[in-house]
Amino acid sequence: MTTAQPADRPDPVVRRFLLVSMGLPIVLVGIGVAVQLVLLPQAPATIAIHWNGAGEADGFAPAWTQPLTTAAFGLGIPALIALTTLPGLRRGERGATYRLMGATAAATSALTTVAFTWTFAAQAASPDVADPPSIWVPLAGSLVAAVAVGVAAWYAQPPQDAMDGAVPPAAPLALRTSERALWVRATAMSAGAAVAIVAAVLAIAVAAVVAWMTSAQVGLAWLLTGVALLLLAFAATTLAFHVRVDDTGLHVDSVLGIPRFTVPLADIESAARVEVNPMGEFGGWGVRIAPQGRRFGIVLRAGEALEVTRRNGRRVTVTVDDAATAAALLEALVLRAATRP
Amino acid sequence: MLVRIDAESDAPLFAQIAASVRADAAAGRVRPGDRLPAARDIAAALGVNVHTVLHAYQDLRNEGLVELRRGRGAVVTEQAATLEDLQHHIHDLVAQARAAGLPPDALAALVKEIATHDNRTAG
Repeated sequence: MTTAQPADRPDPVVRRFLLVSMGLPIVLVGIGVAVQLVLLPQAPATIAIHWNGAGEADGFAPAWTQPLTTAAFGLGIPALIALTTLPGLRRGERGATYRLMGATAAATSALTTVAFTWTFAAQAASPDVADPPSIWVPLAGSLVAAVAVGVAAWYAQPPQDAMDGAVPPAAPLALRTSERALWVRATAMSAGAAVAIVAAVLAIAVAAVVAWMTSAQVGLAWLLTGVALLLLAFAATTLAFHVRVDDTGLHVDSVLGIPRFTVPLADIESAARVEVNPMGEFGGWGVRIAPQGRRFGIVLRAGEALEVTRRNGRRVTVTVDDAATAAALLEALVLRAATRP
Repeated sequence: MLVRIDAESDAPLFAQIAASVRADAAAGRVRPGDRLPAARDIAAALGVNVHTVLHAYQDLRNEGLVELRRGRGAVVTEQAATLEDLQHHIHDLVAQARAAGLPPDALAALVKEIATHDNRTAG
């Protein structure tokens, strides 16, 4: 929105992203659904739609649902990816992650469309409901198709350089040798993100409770319970952190106590205040390693962040307000430690 | 929040900690409603006695910058916003004095003189 692009001509990165994440799935699903509709008269009334781990069909549905399922998955998943990725791209954010999201959307669509269409076609060709054809060949075929489409979609998009320019270290705070200083600040996920995470965890918790109450399958109920507890633990430990800078270095502790991250002062080369673009630089939010490597992030939101460069060149980034003061204090402490005998 | 203490300064440590918090409020680093870190955490990081930090918090409560609530610790009051507003005026004043060539010490002495004089007339 800040970039002055004419409304009728979005920039090439966004155009190509839309092409591979929405245009390509529409074409793929169009072909897949058309093939299924042509074969529908020959297909058995009930077809296998689900296979267990041993490759035996264990779920069945009316044949006419298959084109609908194909469209729902083949378009729905790419649409979900595109909708969550587009706002950042439109804001002018760039990075390999955005390119990867476009390729993933196209590949997912190819995977589901080819798998659904192939299994449908195979069953239409040998209409023996009791013994549907093997799942392995269509599965392998759709995986190959997904990889091929994903790679093609990656190269169909222009390369994106993450906005990750070198930021000069902060000017050190004036600190006398007899002085001791401490900088502390709490940092938390934005309220919107926190609500979304809590809602997602609650949804799975509700599913777990329902699974127990209806006693559908004990295994499923345990699985859902386990996932709900695991997500709850992850969410609770990464929603908010205390960031502290003192003469021992940088400390980032979850408000619940774990996890804790520390960069000892002796390991610190420099510190700076930077602007973080979570999607483009880290591929999302949370405790993360940047896709390009050598950069660790506690990324709870976009914007102001403290970035510490270790002596080995690795970087640690924490999104926190007043990062300039923290960086200035770290610079002063590093400088003082270096000049002290 | 930035807290700094100087062992070689003439001012007592608790007064230096209180002055740091006041400066944080003026700079907008702590805002009304913020909770200050637990006294023992600050004491541990600065290598001072926990009672020194509590002494500073008591002084800040007495002047109205924080409220001490059992179980919630030290919470910053609306006075922080006043200090932050004041900071803008002080910056303007300093800029004017600098433009006119008035040395910082002279400005500080003048402000102190007038503030003291006002206190006398008010008291």
